[in-house]
Amino acid sequence: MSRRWPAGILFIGATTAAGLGAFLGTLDVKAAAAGWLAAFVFWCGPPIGSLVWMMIHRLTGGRWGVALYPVFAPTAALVPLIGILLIPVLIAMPALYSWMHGGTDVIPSVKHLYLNPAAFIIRSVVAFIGWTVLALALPRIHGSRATLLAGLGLVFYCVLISLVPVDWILSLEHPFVSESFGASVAVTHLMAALAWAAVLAPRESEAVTSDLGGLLLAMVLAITYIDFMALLVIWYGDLPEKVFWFTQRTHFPWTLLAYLAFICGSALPILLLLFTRVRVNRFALRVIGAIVLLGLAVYDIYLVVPPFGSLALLAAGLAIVGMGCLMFGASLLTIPAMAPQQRGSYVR
Amino acid sequence: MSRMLLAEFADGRSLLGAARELKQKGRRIIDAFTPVPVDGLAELLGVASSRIRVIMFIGGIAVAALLYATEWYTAVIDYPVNSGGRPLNSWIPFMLPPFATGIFAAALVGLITLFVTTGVRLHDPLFALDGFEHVTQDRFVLLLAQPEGGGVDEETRAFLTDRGALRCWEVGG
Repeated sequence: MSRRWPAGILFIGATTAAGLGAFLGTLDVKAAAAGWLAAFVFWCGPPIGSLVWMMIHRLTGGRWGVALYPVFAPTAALVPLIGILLIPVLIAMPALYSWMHGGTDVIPSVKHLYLNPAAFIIRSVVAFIGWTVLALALPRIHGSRATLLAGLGLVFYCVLISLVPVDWILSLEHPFVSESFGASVAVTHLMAALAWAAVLAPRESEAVTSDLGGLLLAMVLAITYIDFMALLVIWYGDLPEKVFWFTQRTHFPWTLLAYLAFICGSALPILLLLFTRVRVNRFALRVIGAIVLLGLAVYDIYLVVPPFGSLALLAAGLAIVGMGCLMFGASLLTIPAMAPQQRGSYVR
Repeated sequence: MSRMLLAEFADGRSLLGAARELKQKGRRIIDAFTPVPVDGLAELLGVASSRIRVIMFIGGIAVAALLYATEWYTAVIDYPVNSGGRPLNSWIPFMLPPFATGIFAAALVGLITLFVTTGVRLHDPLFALDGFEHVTQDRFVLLLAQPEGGGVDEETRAFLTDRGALRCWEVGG
């Protein structure tokens, strides 16, 4: 197969990035761990989002799901790989989370019952075991049992996605909390999966391309709405234990990241996708998909990295590129080259 | 009213197929009535793409900008109040009224543009036809011009029935 060579080069790229990241780790363990966490959070998006879209499609049906199945199914099969990428985060927990050392004033009962290392690890592991089972089982079963599994799987996703991102990201800066954060992360997953599909999907009919563009527009509008509302509520409440999260990000380079994330993850895609001509254009969608992925990567760096300083920014860049090489390489090997006659075999 | 033939179809695809063949035969298609957009029908009918979306966008943005300007003038120039140390030009909460009002204004501008560009018709002889209200629900109707002076056009009716027409009427004359 001719695509083994590029995949091999990508795997070498991933190894190089991992090596550089490890070197960075010898200089500053905290920064390297934070960079890894940011990349992990970002690359959760395409596989888990693809899984969620497949579950939604089992319940709703529609041409878009059939057409995107050749991208969604192999991408969702990467969920176990992402689960493996979580292990370094669990190992680096003492370097990342200050609540582990008792330095912050976590309420004792909360610490005893919820926010402690064992509960953190259990929640993350349960989430990834559940998502892995769903990703492996969903393409293999059919009929009403598949519908039932998809429905239960979506409920499982909704519950776990309200918990684990708060552990991974928000607990870095305890006591900051945001009630809409789970929904916000879920939308970034759905958005990342669509952007990934827009980049990698084969040439399809105009109608299907239009569906993909429409769904992507809806998700970009959703993330803009949810995050704006969170900002509005926090700004208006003006409480010190929430506002410090933003004031920590009001200087260079974090302001630059905020602008970049807003432009690439929200403003530019919305303006471009408003035009029907853009939504039905395969090449334009591919470019917009790449822009959205860039915007999401910057957004996730903005969420995770600021407390760890500028060196963590470099580590995050390295880790995102490295994990990206790994994901692209795996996708090159698993997402089939799209000959039109092959499509029929993916229709459920 | 000149003589016209109406053909009713159950789906957009058979209407489009029949309309294409009739057009190739040189028949004049006056209009088509469908409950949902049918891809390719506008091109076949030679309807130019509407500028209504551009007008709606401009209308919405203009009203939103005007409302923001009003908020800014009220809070910064006309009646500045120190509310818990917040800046006078508090753009975050100030975004909400322009957003909601901008959406409403875009819809209103769209409605007005629709009436102005198409002309308000409260009644049309076609509306009186039995069952014509189905074009807003589940029926697709094609409206053809009939040649002057001919009798009952059995040939065209047979052709349309063959292409999936559920029924045909002749009106006017």
